[in-house]
Amino acid sequence: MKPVMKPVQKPVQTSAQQPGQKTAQRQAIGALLLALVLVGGLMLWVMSSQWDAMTWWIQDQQRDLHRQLAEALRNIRSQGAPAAWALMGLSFFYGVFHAAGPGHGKAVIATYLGTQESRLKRGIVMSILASLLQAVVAIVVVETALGLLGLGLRRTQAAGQQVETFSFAVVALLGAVFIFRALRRLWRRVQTARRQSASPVTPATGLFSSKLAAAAARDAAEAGNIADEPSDRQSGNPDAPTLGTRWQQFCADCGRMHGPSRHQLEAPMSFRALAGIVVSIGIRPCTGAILVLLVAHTLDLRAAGIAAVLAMSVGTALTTSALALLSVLARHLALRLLGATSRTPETIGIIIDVASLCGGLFICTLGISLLHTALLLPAHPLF
Amino acid sequence: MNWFIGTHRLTRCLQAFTGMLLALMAGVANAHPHAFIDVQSTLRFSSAGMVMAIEEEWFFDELYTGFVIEDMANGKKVTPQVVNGFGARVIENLQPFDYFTSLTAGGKKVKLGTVTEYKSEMIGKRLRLHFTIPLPAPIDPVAVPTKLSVYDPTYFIEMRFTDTKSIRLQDAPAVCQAKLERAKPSESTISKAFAMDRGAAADDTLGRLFADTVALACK
Repeated sequence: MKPVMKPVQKPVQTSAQQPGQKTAQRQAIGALLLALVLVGGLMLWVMSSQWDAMTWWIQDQQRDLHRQLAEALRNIRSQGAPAAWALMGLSFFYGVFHAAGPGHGKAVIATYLGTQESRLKRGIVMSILASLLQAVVAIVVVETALGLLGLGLRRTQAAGQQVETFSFAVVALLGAVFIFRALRRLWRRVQTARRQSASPVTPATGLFSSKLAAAAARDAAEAGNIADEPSDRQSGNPDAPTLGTRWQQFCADCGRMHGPSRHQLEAPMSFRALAGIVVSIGIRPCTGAILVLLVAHTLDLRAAGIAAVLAMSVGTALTTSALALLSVLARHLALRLLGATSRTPETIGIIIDVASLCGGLFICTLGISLLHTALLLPAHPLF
Repeated sequence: MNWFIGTHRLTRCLQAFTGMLLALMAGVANAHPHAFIDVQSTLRFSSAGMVMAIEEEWFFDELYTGFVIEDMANGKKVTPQVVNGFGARVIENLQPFDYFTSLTAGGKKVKLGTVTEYKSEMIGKRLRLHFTIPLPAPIDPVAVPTKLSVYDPTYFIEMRFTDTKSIRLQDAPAVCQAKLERAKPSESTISKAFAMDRGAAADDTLGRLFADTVALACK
């Protein structure tokens, strides 16, 4: 991933961004991001060449997890505190590798970041919070059901499954919200385009004027996106053609970089949406976490179980953060590729919104199908 | 965030990312197995050097034990009688399944008798089930290669010999030796088990693929 380093020192192309005085700070951030990219690149290298072998290995580990956890907990009973470190380590690595395996939480995060969100920091914060919430939910469910309500092991496990079923419904709902948002943005684009075609600044054909039209369209789209924020609910953006006119005074391709602007990259995300993602993923207690807690309970080692679940969530956070990084990278790469084509920013904007829509559809479908499976599942005859 | 774009490597990133998303589609909640049993087996020989019975000890995992105890006790105190009641029930339930035990002589399945001796008790936090399967027609391991496997055909429960010490030969001729052969499930088999949910329809061919085998060699 060496070539990555060079462009970091280049001034950021977006002229609208911060002045050069923050160079040192930006370099520090650049170095941090570089480190993350290196880690991500390493993971990608492993994944792209060894995907099958890795999946298989993870599944094999998973198969043995119960036995290993029981063994580690048993050792704590017989050998005392020092053996707890082995359990913590096992749980941490389980978290790391389990998170690398299939799971709808990762699907939601990856889809969301790939299709809706461009800011890396936010993606990582989201991944970490979701992992921690998963641990907290598992602990609360088991402690409440077993400790407070005295429901017994079997009903506690069932309670965990019910919370899980509920979480699938939340995922479906989240997908529906994304679909709604994407549709609303697309609808606004249609309206903006209509208004523009009615205005005198209608883009003419020709080499330069098409770029101008692009700039105007970009402004219009931006104005539309800003209007999207909860703080400014006033729809419509009569300024858009005016901005375009102002630009016309200078030159056709004055001003902006070619390619989508920051506002276009990001469907504006409120705290509510962030919370929605975190909750929809985090509310589902991880099966492994419930397992550790229950086994720990049968061995009268509840504190060790709780500590193990927290260690597990740290491991999970590590992997999901890497996944967040990859998703944001993939999104930026896709956007850059799009920007490099001769498409107008307006077309790009539409493509982005359609991608958001597809992401929403995917998440919603995933939630519904998981819910469907969970609700139809019969009890196992042997258990 | 413009700086990392433009390397050829990233094209591969996209591919990997797509592959990953596809893999993520298969959301898995509960994979098989759901419980495990550590198994110890003793092959009992007659004075004529024939295998005449298989003695087995099963140690259920703590969680399964917890479930079972909870059901048996039903809120009351767990007495040794209650625990032994579990043994009686399990032995009866397992009889049609040959006690999850498969003995072959020269590749042919050996007919197993009905268990009459059994005991179940708590060892620490684990249930231990101890029983002996008589062989109506004892077999001669010198004449035919003999193999023993203990497994749940559905792989709902994983049964495994901890190590070579988990296999004992009682009163065996000096030439006889038991060799533990670990199962080598294929990658697709593991994936299949992984994709099986708690409520999946029982597939009674899966367990065999994960079963360890004890090969008895008498030369």
